[in-house]
Amino acid sequence: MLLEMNFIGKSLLSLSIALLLASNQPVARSAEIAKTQGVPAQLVSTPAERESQPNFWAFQRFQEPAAPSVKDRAWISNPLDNFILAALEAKNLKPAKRAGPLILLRRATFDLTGLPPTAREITDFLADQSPGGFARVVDRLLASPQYGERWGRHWLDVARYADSNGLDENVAHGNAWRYRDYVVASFNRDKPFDQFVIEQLAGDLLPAANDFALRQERLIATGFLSLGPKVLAEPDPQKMEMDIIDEQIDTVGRTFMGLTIGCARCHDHKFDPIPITDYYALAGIFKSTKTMDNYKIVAQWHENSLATPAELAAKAAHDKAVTDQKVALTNWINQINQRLANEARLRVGDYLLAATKISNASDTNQLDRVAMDSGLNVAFLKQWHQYLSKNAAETNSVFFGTFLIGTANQTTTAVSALFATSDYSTPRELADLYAALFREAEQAAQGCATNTLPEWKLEAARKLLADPKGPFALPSKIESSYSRETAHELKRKREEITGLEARSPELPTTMGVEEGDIIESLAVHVRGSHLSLGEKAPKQFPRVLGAGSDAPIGKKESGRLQLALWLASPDHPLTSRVMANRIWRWHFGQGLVATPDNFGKLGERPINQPLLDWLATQFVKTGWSIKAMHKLIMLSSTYQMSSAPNPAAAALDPENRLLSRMNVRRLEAEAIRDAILAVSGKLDLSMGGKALQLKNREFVFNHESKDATRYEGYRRSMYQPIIRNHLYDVLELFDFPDPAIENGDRTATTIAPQALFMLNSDLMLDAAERLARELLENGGASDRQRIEAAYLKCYARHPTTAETQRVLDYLKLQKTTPAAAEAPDSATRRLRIWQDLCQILLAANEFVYLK
Amino acid sequence: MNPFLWTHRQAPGREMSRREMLRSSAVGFGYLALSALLAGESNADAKLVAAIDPLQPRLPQAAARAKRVIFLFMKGGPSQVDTFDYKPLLQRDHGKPLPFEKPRVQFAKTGNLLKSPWQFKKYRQSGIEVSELFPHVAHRVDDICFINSVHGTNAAHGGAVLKLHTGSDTFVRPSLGSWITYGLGTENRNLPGFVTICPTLAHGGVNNWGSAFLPAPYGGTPIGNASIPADQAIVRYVKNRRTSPDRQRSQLDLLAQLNREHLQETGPNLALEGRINSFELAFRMQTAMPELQDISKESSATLKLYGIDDKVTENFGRQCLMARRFAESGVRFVQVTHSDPYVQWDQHSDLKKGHEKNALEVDRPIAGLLTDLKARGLLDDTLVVWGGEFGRTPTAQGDNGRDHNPEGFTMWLAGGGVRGGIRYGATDDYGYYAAKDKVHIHDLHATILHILGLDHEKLTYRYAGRDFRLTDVHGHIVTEILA
Repeated sequence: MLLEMNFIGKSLLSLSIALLLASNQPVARSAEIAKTQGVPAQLVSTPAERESQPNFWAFQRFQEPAAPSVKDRAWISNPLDNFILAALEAKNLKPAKRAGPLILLRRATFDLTGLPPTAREITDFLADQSPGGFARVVDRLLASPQYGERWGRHWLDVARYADSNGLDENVAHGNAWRYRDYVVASFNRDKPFDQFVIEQLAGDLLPAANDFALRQERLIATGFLSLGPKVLAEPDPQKMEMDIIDEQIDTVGRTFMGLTIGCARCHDHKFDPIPITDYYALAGIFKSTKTMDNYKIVAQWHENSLATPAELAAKAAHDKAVTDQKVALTNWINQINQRLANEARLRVGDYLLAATKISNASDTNQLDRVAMDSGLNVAFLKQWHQYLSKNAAETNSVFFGTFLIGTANQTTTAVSALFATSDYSTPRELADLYAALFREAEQAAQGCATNTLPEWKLEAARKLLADPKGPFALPSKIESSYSRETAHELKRKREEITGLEARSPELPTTMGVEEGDIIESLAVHVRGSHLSLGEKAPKQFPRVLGAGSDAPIGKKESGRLQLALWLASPDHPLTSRVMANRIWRWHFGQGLVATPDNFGKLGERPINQPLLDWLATQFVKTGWSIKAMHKLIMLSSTYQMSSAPNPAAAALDPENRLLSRMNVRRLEAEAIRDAILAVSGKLDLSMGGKALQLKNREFVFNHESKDATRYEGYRRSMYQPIIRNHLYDVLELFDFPDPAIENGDRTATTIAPQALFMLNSDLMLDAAERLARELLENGGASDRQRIEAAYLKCYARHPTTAETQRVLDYLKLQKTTPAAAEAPDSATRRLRIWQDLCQILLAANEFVYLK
Repeated sequence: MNPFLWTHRQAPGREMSRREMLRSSAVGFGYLALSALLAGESNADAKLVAAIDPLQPRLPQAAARAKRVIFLFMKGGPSQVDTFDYKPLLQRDHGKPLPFEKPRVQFAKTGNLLKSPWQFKKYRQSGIEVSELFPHVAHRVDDICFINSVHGTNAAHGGAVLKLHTGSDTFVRPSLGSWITYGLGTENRNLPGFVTICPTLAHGGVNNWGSAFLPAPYGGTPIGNASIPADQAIVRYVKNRRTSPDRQRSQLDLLAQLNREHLQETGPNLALEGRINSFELAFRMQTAMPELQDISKESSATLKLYGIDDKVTENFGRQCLMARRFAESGVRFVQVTHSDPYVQWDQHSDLKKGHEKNALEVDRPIAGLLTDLKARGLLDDTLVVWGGEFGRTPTAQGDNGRDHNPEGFTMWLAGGGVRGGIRYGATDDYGYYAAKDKVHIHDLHATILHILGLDHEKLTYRYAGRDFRLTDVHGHIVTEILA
């Protein structure tokens, strides 16, 4: 088979140079770096360092090994096979035969998408017998959006992705999903891995010119550094900061280099040549990086704004709309109030008369009735009454006499003096005199007096007209006296504004880092304690990997960008090999280095180092294309081997480390759930977006230990919330790794609680029922045809005659059981029997294991 | 030489020859498992044990004083000076400043000494003083060994709870119960080896009963959680309301046929065979679990003994009775958590109200458990452990509360070969710091393992190239308390 590889020639070399030029480095320095790109200055260690550098495979630079020659050359599809076959031949072992086409199809489909092949895909593949048929399947799968979800989820394992903090203060990572979606999109676009590395460590420092989407994407990428679990209630803020930095160093070390650098926090690494000074040299980089906004209890991690100019403008426009509406409302209210006040002024006499009819001001019924009888405003009426009551004893008040209005038609000197007459005989007349007085005072104030009143009278009346606590002032509860229509309109207008405010666009933010406010180097913390400082540790990269003492980190830079570029360098002895090994691990279930997260001395040695080095070289050569690696691997004869047992190999190589056959692998938790949903017709393939119902930073548990997280719907499992300390049942049961720590090597246990889930969970029982209904309705005319359809759906193959017969026997037997007799009718009985059968097909080893 | 050198991950392609399979079958298997663990020679055989039958009961490395553990965990941190660590000087000097320095890191500033609002009295033959909070437990003092000098390192709930359960407050490590189940397997093959009844999901949550890098079967099986009343707490998915047992039996028979045929095609494979066995265990477990949790056949005297007749004590009483039933049935490690949804043992204020409520809920059930275990002869080989993640300050927080205090607090052990009726170790005159015969959490762990016949320095597991143990590089066995 020809190697159909889509080499992506573009290396990141040019990008790296551009970046350095764009950074704050002096030009001469950049030129020097550019000149040495072939052998980056950072990787050139001093002779003394080289001498002290241990002769350990993982720390040494490597070159592309030549493919070894083999006897059985017919077996070779691409050079990868030479490495495998040579190792087998050395032990006199033969590789297994090629797997059958349908086994291959199921294997490849789950491998690349985490889903089972559909009936249509099976038919199409069987129909396409021309050469390159399988290669076309691989191309189709790599192009499907589900590929990015499957492989993105692998990456999320090493990125210890979670939607909550875990640890002591388990608060929601409300924006972590953006990073999750970034990872999926990166895999789908086959983003060169070196670029992927750089973005996650230093995306905020990459020049994005005016490309806003690119800038956002890169800010989101740095979420990688912020996603770790943090002791947010650590009482000692310095310890909290150093613990967070430690988590970052540990994750970066293990994710990209397979090194447990975190072990050198308190002392020189016990096993790997990483002195404590190297640890603090790296720690200085993260100390100069802003991950947290504060270290209070509960501390807040930093989030970068993702708002586009358009969103900022929309937000500003929205804020303005709210303000405008509020102003308009105020004006509208003022107008109404003004009108009411004016009306009240014109009816002083009526108010005076009405006020005398109030015996108890706290009796709102009485107030309402009197106001209604006189056609007056109740709020003003109440105010009149209060004012008059308060001033009842004030003999100096111009209103002193009004108290006579209600009692008797007697005159007083005060009133006589006021109106220069005692010629009134009814309360109405006296009230009219008052009304005339205020009318005149008002007209005088407006400069259009037709009557001339003495100054003292005018003054007294004017004072009262303007008194904010007087009877003419706007009552504080004026709104309660609005007419029903006005009140209704006011409520509507207010609700409109509240609604508008609630719709205020929330500006998007994302977990991530930026350069710290203080750029510094750290001193060694003796025994890991920030309270006992030792020698200075200028920022640089682990010396054993060839970092010189002059790592080009400027005085105003954290050094994250340099760290990222150093890691993403084609010559880095670990980055390409660690990732190539991860890809291999995720295809074969076992890495060439069996400890993919530990390439150090405590890790396993590679079973086939030439192959690993060759793969890593191909990886870099193809422009760090992960999709190219999939094709390289999947189009090899090695990948396409059957998993049929080989007794000779089992005796010599019981763990199948040499790969004399394909490993039998259990599906991961997500693939199990997704497959169950897929074959029962419920899987929802909508992509991306927020999964958590909680607000950002909201607590996952309430004080009753109740976790309000809901795992609903039928979307792919990778979109279910990942809650640290309290994982989704289904994920936890099937060995989803602890999302608090980097883990590229999931286990596959077979514990009894998994079996309980398969037997008793609603998810399984519902799926079995759906599948049964589907088969009974559309699975064909006979039980034989239905069994055929069931096997195709569940196992992507046809049943053998014996298998069909066994199931037919089972169906027949079940019809006669006491349980069957209990069914109310034959249709229910039939459904139950088929449902039980379907459940077993889904629970069987063949469903959850790949051959 | 490491008897527990089992690889942590199962290679997906690991196969066994037919010969090996036979060797591991009924006759040879138990012997192999034991010999592998005792002799510490055959790693390959130990691997087989782990892969095919991880819960196979195993004899301990040395003579054991107890076979199983019941851990009564008081979430939140009960106060030592108000329960089992009587301090006359604290009563005398109430309101005065502490005459020595407080630890550097504190959550809130505490003030002067706060005397206990409860009276202490001497009980039974040993004459050990117990406060009014525990009148029923007080009558069992002759069976109890109080360790008054326990100390930890972490003043925050999260760290301290993890430290107590796993020995580490910084890394995810296997729980105490997981280590013990790993070391000893379990005696009841229809049940998990390690169950935790109504555990709290906060402060480490699952990590407090997780197996971390130990194989998954050694992880604790939660029964409900702290937010679920004990009478509704069940193992996840243990009930099937739709399929009758008869139908399920037919299903399992068909499943066994399908799986066997699949195994023929793939060849011998530990994982596939392990999965076949897991369905049978699950089927047995779904009968065994509800039976064990069904306390309807317990006598009214027993129910009364545990306080199940009283609303206040009913919930915790049920948990304790369930614990006894699990222990009796051969479950290796049973944890019972008291974590009141509203008022845990965390009285930063209102000490009197909070501790009174909590103590009232647990006192009768705990005393009942001890009495019942003794009456059934189970106390001889069951180790009961009581305690919280830390104690509380003898100084006042606010007017009437106490802050966290990991510097010195009390835990107690009973049964399983410990000396009853003694106090071991002591705090200073005011009950702040462990002062005499200090017992660190690591020491407590080492001692518990020792009581079960496990050597904390030899019970190791190789993971990521290193041999790990529960006590890391620490731990001293407190031999003085052993009977």
